[in-house]
Amino acid sequence: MSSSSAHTFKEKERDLNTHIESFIAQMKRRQIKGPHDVAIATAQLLLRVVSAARWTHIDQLILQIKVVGRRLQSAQPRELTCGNIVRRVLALIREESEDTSDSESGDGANNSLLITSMFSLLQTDFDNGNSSDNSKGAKKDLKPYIIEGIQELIDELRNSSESIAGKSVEMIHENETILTATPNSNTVLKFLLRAAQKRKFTVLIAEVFPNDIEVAHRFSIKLAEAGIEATVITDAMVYSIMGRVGKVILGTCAVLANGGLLATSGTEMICQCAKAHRTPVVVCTGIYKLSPMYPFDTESLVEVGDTGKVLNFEDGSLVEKVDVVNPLFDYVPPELVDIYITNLGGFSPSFMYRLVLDNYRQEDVKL
Amino acid sequence: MPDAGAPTSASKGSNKPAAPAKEHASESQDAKAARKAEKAARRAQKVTEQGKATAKPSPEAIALARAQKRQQQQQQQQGNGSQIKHVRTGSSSVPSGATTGANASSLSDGNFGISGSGEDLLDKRVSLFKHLDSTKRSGTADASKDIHPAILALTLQIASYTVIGSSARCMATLQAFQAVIRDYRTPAGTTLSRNLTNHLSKQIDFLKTARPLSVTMGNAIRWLKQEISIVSIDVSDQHARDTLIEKIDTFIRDKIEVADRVIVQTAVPQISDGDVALTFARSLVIEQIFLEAHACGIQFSVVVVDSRPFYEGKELVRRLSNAGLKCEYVLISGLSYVMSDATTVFLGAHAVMSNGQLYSRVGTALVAMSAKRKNVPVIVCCESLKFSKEVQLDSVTFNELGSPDDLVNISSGSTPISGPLKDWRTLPNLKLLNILFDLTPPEYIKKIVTEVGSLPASSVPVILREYDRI
Repeated sequence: MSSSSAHTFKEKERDLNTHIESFIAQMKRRQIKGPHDVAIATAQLLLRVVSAARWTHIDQLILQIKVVGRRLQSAQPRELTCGNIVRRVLALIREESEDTSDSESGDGANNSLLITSMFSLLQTDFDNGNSSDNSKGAKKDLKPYIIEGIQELIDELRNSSESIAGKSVEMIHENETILTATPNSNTVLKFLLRAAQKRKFTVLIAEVFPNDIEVAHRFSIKLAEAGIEATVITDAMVYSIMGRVGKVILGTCAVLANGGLLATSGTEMICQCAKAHRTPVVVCTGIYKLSPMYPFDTESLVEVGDTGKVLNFEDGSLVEKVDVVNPLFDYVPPELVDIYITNLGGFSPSFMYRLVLDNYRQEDVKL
Repeated sequence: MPDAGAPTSASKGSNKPAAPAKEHASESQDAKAARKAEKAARRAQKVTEQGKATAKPSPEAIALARAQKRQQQQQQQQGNGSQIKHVRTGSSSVPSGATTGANASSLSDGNFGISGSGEDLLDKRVSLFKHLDSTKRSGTADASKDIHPAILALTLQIASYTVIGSSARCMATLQAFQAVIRDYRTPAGTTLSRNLTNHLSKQIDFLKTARPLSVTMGNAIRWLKQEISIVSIDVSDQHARDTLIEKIDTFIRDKIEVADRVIVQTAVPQISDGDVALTFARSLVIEQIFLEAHACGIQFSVVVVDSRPFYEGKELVRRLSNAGLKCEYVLISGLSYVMSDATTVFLGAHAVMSNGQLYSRVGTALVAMSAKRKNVPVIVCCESLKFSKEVQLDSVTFNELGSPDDLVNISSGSTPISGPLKDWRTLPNLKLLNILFDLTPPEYIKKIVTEVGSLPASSVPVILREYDRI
């Protein structure tokens, strides 16, 4: 009996390992890419890890997740959402375990807790009052709670762009001119399409040549088909037209703890331009893109891509002699962003560090 | 300036063999022959076509629909033109005669092969820029017989962006005018000083159908008309013509060639060892500055920022790297990535407005703004010929529209690839905007280097006043 269960456990573990390996391989080959897909894939993988895991003390699970998380993150260090989701899951596990351990050891245990904020102080008190009776000796029962928590997280990921889109009508007024430069952002697309149901406005789309040009063109077609006046402009035209733009609406790859962000190349100059013209910059992002990292070294965050897109290889003689650069991302400092619209509401960049503290645990920042 | 090589010889072997034009010389001989043949064919075609056109009863066509139909043809022509331009820049081995021929034939196709359909009626103009009606382009077939062949050729070259850049266009125009003046005979009963201005005006009006006149061209034309008006009635026709042609030569030499040399001498000391000079698109005088600084043995590198749809910087980077300069090439979306390395930004100009605003290739303002933010000095180098008396506050009120179809191509190579937007004209809400210039505010500019010295952007009107006095 026991040997057979050990056997199935081993089998399960092997099974899990292949899943992790295939995820890592897909990340490395960029078959999974973009913050949203990476986030969902990571959450699903962690769901498997948790359901396969066995532990006697909660720290073992945390350690297990951390080890897996470290592997996942190192597969593609610049996909910050992968690490974000790992940290979210870790925070979730810690929270569940603290809840139960609180209720086990009674009210006195509260004092031993590391109280990081006034908010968590109030929250644990509140929870205690409610859940003091329903979980006794809940070590084994933790698993379904964690799994439920991860499933809620996946739901949140799936619905985040919808709930962001819900705020679009508040941000766009009738007859406004909007400029966007992140055509690969589904969040922005949904945001604009939702606004188009109630408002009539014009959208200028910077093409982000060369990396996102096709996406940008398809993006403009989608907007035009939805009845929005869509105008495609080249990246160079942004300055000349910025004076007529009401708002710049951007998507992002990652938001950093200082309120800065990483987005497709060209966004930094567009935000600067908006600043020069006093045009507000609105960034639409799911909270899952918020990373606890501080951008101490912005250069290392920027990935450099295929130079053949910049200077075609048919110009062979030129390619040989000239250094060609094709940065894929831009780091935009917080002072260039006016507001973040997230699935939890609108926040100013200076408030983002607070959201980091709410969503992640300090001890998990370094995986 | 070297680009002006083609029109130089196109205008019937001008007497000034500019050194860099040599590489184009044989090529443009072919071009000339091909163009002549083409023109003859077109004339013949036009005659028959005009017959047809007048015979046709004019239908109840709305003027707007007509204008747009025409606009679309012209945009198609221009699209063809720019494709051809890509071929040209891509490989210099393509005989330009062939390309010009292809261009010309596509122009005449555009005029006669009307592919009328309902979708022509969609207004594809961007509402903000409706006041800029750039696309009244007509083919050479519409030219009246008074238009000189050199002007016809130049119009085609300008329309297809083969001759591009305000100095190059100005030189080419003046050289074409030399040919016009050489072949001009004063009709009986009038004087040269009165009639030649008229005759030139007709040529200029036709030239305007290709692209609006550049500020340099405007300034040069104003000067030329002034010179013509003061020709004495007493001198013989031949003598007057010779004087004018010589004066044009002097003008080109003083205002562009010598001016450039002075600017280069002033600007080279701005570059020192270990510098990273950043520039945007392509300016002839900037190119000369870099080459000269390299020849002086200064160890520096150049970052060339470029943009769609012209990729002018590619040619610059080719010339600089051939000369052995260390170059970096990046498209404007990667600007902030390279700006942190730059030590000085050198910009060329199309024109400088009298309120100090720099009117230049679209994207220049972005570069200047980024530089200002990173505390990198921005130096504008241009001839004082580019100073305009006009004032302008933003890039919308006055600008030039390029063909929107240029944006459909998504390839950076010489062979255009139509992306997802190839059917954009059928989508009612979709528009493409292609403006050619933007305005850089004077606060981004550290100084302007001209042949009359280095000055802040605010001093442009001062220079203009001094000029008026002379």
